[in-house]
Amino acid sequence: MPQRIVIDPVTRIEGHAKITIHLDDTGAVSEARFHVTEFRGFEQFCVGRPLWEMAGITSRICGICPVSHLLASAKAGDAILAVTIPPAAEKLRRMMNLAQIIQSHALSFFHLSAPDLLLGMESDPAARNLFGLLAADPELVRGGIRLRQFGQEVIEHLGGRKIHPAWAVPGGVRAPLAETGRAAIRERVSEARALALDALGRFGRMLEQHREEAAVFGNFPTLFLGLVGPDGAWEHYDGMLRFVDSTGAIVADGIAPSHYREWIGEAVEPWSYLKFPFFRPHGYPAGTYRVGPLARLNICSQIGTPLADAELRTFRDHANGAVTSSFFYHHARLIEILAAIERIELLLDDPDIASTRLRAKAGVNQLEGIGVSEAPRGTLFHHYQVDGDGLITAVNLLIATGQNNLAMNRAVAQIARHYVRGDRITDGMLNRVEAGIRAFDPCLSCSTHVAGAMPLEIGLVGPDGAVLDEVRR
Amino acid sequence: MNAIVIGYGNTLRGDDAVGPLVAEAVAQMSWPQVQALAVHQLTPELAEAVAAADLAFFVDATAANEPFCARPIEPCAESVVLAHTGDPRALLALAMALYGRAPQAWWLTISAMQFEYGAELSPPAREGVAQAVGWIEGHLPELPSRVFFRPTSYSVE
Repeated sequence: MPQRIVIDPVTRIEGHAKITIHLDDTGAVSEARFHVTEFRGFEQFCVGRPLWEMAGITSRICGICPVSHLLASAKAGDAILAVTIPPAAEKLRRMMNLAQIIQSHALSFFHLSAPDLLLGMESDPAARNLFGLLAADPELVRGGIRLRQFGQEVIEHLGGRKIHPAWAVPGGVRAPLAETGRAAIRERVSEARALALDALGRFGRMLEQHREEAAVFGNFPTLFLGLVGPDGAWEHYDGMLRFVDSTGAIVADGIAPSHYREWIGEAVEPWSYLKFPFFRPHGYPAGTYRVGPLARLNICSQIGTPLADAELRTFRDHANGAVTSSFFYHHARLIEILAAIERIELLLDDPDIASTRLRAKAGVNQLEGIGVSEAPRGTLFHHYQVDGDGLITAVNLLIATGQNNLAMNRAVAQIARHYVRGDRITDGMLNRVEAGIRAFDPCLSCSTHVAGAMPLEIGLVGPDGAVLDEVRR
Repeated sequence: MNAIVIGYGNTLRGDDAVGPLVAEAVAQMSWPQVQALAVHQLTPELAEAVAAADLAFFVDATAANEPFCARPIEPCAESVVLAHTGDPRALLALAMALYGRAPQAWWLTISAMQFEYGAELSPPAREGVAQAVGWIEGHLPELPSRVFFRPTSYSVE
């Protein structure tokens, strides 16, 4: 008899979602889906707001990646003002984005996914959490916290507040980096670098225990999208869009972010409120692509800093072409932490960042603007239309988690088909399905937010919709 | 003795903003040796600031239909520590585990009725903010000078 397994909500991710796994008459997995279940109304909420408020408003969408929205919004504002921002403003924005990458990636790896990776997918679910990790490896937990603190302190030195710094504005930034802040950041760089290198060493050692997961956690050919610099180097703030395929071949390159709609379509499905973006030339759903750290390392020619480039070479040993297993998002995240630390160190030595020329002032010169940057989870698009007074008339936000939506659904199905058998559902099976989603580090705070308890609920549902069995933990 | 007030929630989702609003109101009081943090959600690195305090107040919205409530809490490692539903008891346990101490702590919950984008606070939530700030003031150690909190207009853009 066909059955449906429901994991609702998925735990240790940012936001709420559920997974359903459908079994056929033989007990094999016939289909699996990752659902986002809360309505997304943020774009409508922004209509009528002044352009100049958008950076401050959108940075409040999410508690984990406020800087990403802040920067993409400010860049959309730059486009509407039709200005080139001062060099110091761009470099300070870059520094803040790098800090954001560090703190967000640290949360994902050290605190959300490390319990699975270090303690084991089959370990006692009661201890497979931060406290279990603390008992097993306190230094790893402390290291993660120190890296998050480092990233957040950089953001605070720049923006003045740890969350939602309305510091980047259309035309530039509001305030410089004080010399005291510069010195304080510099003082912590070497510790941060050591922590990142230590984590990379640990990942390499734990990888041997997870060969099976690496083989089936969302391991399939897709395209990969991200920004690259002028020489194809790793980029996080500006540049051009590039798509590569799973062989590593460039499929589309040099795409101005303002032309994104010519290349990216957005589909919807009745069973999820999250959009399903796809590579338009390949159609839907064949145009599945992935964004985020895995994609950024697959599309770039090099990172451009010595330690991260050495790690990139190790990363590329995972595959002959592009690294196609989503399991290696974890590895890519750690390499990006290291890259971000190295880049911050370079920026600290850049004389431009001491400049007090930080903002180009102008009125509304374009009625449409698109701002794109690389959020920790992937390419983030803010697309605004305004009237002559700068009031918002339309907003489209294309968030990283949405762009990974098709791939996350395929990953859930692949993992379920590999691990889930019949009606004997074990915790280890279901935890692997969840862990596959965690590898993408989905952030549903961007599109949804709910306060309340977050149990894991698993239900077996028959073909008539009746719940046959239900488990909570 | 020093105290910390951590108000958490999403300031763009109506009544979910009550925690951060309480923290901001407390910050405006400039009470000596009282640190106030308005955060989106509880995250592990907050454990350090919590461990450094002698007294902690966590302020959150609750969808349960109950009046303003303040209850003492103890460290509990079995609670959820991260992300949207971070539990302050877990944060206390993390402070204890990482830094060897956790403060005396209270969990203040304010009744929240609506979570729409950008809506103003509901009247009960607005009242709850005022109650929470007053309650915190009443449970702080002796302050050199008391400035009683008067609720003004609380709204989210």
